[in-house]
Amino acid sequence: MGIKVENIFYTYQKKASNSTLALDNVSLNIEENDFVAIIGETGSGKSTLAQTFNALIVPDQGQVQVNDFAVSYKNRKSKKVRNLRKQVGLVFQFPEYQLFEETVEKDVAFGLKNFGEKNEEAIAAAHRALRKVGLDESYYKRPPFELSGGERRKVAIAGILAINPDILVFDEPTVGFDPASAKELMSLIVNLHMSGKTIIVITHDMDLVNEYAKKVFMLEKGKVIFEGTPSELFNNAKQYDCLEIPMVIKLALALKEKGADIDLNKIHTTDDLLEEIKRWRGKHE
Amino acid sequence: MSSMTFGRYSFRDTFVHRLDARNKIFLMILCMVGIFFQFKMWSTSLLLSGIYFVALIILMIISKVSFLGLLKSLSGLWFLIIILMAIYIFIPNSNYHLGVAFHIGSYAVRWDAFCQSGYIVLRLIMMISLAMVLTSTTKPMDMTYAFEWYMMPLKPIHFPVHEIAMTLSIALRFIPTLLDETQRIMKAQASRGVDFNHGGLFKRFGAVIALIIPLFVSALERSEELANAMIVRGYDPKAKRTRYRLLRFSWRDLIAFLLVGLAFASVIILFVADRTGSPLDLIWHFFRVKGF
Repeated sequence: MGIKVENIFYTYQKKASNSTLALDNVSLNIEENDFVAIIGETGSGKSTLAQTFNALIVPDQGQVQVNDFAVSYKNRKSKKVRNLRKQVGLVFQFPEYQLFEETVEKDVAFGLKNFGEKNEEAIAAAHRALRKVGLDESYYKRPPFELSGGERRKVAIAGILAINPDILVFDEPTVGFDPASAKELMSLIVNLHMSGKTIIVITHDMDLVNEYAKKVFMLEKGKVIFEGTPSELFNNAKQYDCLEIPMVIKLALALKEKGADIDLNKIHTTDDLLEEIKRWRGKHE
Repeated sequence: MSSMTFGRYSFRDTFVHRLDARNKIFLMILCMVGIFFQFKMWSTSLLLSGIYFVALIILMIISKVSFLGLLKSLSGLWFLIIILMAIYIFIPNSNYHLGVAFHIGSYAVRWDAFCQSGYIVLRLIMMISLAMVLTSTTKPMDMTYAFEWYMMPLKPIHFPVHEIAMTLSIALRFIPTLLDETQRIMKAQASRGVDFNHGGLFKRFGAVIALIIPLFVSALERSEELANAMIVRGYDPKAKRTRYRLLRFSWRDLIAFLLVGLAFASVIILFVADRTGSPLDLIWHFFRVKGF
């Protein structure tokens, strides 16, 4: 179980003169029930990589082993691709633009029905998923186009959750959200992780990476240039010039420079920092 | 969307690329009209078609239009050919020149029907190639400017010439954007288990709905945003404005104009001669009418 990416290559617009190598010999391993962040600049291949996980993009070379199915050029037309999409749920960037049904509950149930679930069961699952994202009964019968942008995104996310995939991929889930909604969404993702799902998040938000991710992959020009824990990443931040260091880490580094004995590996949230300061103070007095 | 390459502007620098868009449109219309003249005898029509075809191939080589792209777009025409065939076979025509091919019951199918449908398809192919030469050698924006220029005479009667040209150029500008959007939504729905390539008619219809509605919604939202952005920047359709790109009539245009004009004139003379007798008769006729 999990995802095993083995030496994959992918080129956009293969025949055109302006073809770009989006993935250049990428290999990585994502364990079951892991919480992984994929980071990198715009155009580094993050989204392309994520789309290979459920065979929306099939690598030209190499393969992506997901559970018992291998996404590869040879298997690109296999009927098991549908089954794979049931196991790997992909929430696109700005998913609110994919809604189309008359009511919220129908839209959320749409995916499940595509995978052959009966109508009543699909609607029941849709209700469960909607409650998970924090939308109550009053939303069920409303047309999705009436809702605000944030609510629409929640509906779209519920549409993927309803399918109940083992692996969930979020492409910049919090982009454009206000801090409170972003926090709410992240705690939903954490809950999903707690309930045994494998979570993969593509993001530019380093605070988010530091706080939630257990493992980070950094991409640059289609290559994996870093693999490890967030602490390892931020400890070696100097090597990667475009890397933004999270606020808490910055503060911790500043304190450390002033002589505070703080273990950077433990700092993921403001609470962690507070704990470290307390511990250090306690030792000091 | 690799299959949408038909007629896309290709960045090349050829004689045809450098022609004035207005001139190109005019000349293309001349060519199309010329192609559509039909002569009494099949032999004349087919011979002329052969000449057109050679000319077209030369034109395509000069303007570096890909033959492969043309063939790809023509591969969708087979259905049309069958329908045309059927129409010409089953609709009686009094003007027969050729013999009977075979009988269906007591109904005689003549070779003319095949000739006629074949001839129409041939002309269609030539029209498509002409249009392709035009669109792949002319920047879409230049094309809209040319249309605007041609509609200028309508301005005094308060025909919204500029507005139409603006709408056209915006539409052209947003084609690639909408194609990207289409692909994005297709992928998003595919993640929700929609299969765009398999399944029966009913299922595919559902799949198309799941694509079209979000596409419309986002297109409408986008257009509203664009309208707001234009208003904010003080866009006024009635205002007089200067242009970034200017269309110029150069010596190249003159050459192209003379060449096509000459060819068109010869076709006209041939056509009239075909209807009335010989070209000399025609000239004679002309002078007689004038009273000489």
